[in-house]
Amino acid sequence: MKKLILEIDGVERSAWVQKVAGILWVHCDGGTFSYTPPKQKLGGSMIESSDPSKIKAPMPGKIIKVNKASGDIVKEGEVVVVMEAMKMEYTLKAEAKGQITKVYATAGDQVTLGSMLIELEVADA
Amino acid sequence: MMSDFTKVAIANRGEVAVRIIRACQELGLQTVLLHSKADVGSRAYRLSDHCICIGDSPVGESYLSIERNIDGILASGAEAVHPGFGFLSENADFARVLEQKGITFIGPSADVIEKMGDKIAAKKIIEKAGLPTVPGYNGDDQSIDHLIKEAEKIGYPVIAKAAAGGGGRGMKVIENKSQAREMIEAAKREGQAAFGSDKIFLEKYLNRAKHIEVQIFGDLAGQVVHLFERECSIQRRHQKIIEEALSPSLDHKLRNQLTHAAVTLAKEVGYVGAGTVEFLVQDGQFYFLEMNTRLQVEHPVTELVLGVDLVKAQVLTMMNRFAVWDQDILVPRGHAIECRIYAEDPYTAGIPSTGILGHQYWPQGPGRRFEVAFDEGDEVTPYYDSMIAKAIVWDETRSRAIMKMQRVLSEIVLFGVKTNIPLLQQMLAHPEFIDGSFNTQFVNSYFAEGAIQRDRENWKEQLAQIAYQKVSEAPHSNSSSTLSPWSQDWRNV
Repeated sequence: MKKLILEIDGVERSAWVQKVAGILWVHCDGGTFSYTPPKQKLGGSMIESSDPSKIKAPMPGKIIKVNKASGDIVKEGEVVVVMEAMKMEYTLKAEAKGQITKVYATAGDQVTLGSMLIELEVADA
Repeated sequence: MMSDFTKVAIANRGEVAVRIIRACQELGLQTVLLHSKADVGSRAYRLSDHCICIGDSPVGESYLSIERNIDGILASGAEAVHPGFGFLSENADFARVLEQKGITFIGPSADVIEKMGDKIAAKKIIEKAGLPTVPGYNGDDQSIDHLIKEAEKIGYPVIAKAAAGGGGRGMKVIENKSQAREMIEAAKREGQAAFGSDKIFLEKYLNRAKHIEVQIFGDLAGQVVHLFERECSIQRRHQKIIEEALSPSLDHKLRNQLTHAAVTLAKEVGYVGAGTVEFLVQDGQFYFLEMNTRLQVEHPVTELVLGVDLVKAQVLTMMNRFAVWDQDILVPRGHAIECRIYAEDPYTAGIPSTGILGHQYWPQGPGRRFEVAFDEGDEVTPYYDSMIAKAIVWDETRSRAIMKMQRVLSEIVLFGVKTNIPLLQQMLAHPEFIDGSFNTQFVNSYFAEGAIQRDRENWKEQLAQIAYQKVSEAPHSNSSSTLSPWSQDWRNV
């Protein structure tokens, strides 16, 4: 941990900073945030902005239930997968109407953050 | 059952294990931490006089296994065991095996746990005592179709709860008919996974109720007192986030009714030790919710307004060295607030965040208390609950306590995992929190998707870029080391 005092655009700013596991953590102005340089922002550590054709695990955890099979039609908001993490259940819903093309998830699987669970072909609105 | 003892086993983990270890050590007792493999990297492990690894990291192979815990206790030579909260703290079978082995369980008897732990049996007792309960179904026909029929009879919204449950697991709100099957199934699964029983009951869901609970304490002579109430209406999926003592919204009359009801129930079952009677309060009416036969996560707010130590009182009670406080000397003073700090992404509905912890700074000061599970270098794993610490403040008035908590939250430094601190800050600043009118729908109504994310100011982005360069260039940052790769990045900066 290190305290930095920097002048930015003519204003003196102070912050506590520390690199943990390759990510920089910053505490300043009454709040904490993390920072990863742009080149290190690869898939896996960050969930890419929502692509409704790919349903990925939003956290590490266990697959409890898969409600749909390949070929099934889903409605927007329909629950497709149920996951458990830290002893709580989370439901993952389809973000768009479409047809499931591939199911990667199986009940009982332990998955990591960002794992692909279901792919679907989004129906035209 | 009760006797003098010198060595206490702790069948728990995290911040509550630290809390219990310290209470025991201050009383001159030796401690034995019964821990999983993952928790070798935790503050409780470092503080305890003795530690016994009882199994692998998944809870079923360690903290939830009666057999492993009993083996650990017997091997350690501990004469008593403190179960903390969660895990086996309300497991009557665990308490019963301990009774058979002549080991003191720091809590009520197995019979009392069983009566109150089966929420259906507890409801019958409270009905017999003439206290109001929420309309619902608690029958033995547990088929999904029958449960759906009963839910319709009660009228939506309906809540499904695991009969053996608590702490938010196995609870599902059914808003309408179309959700009934999915939610009942989910409640049964969660109940099975968390408590080993898929029995559920249904209740009318009070949609603008406050969650208010009364702390009670009984001694071996049969005396029971109450330690006033805590308001815990700030909850998400029935897991509490912010608690306070006293409630900002009880009048004198309702407070008397609630505390009287809680003491009546505790006396009815012959309660010994610390317990909590939970109520829902809506439109000036109160309904019995459940009784928790253990220490609560939020016990510190009661301790701060009353100047008591509930954990020591629990231990001394079982040593037969404690008679409850006179009710007359229990006079609350000032106001206390607790914020639970969860390792989660604050801008979501609670997605957990895991990882290696970096630097921590807990801004100590008068009326500021911190209960912390981990130290720098420890790892927050996905195996357990995401609560990694609690911040508690006391001040002379509620508004000053809110201001103090805001200041504390802005000062806390916790690197390595995301935390809900930004969400807590926004909740404390909400007009309904400030005027005390909030109810259990607060989170759902205003923070269902987490905290409101604001764009990061430009200067912070610039500061982070420069800081990243500086930290990466720091001397020794590339030096070889026997430490794991993550640690060399921060150890020398």
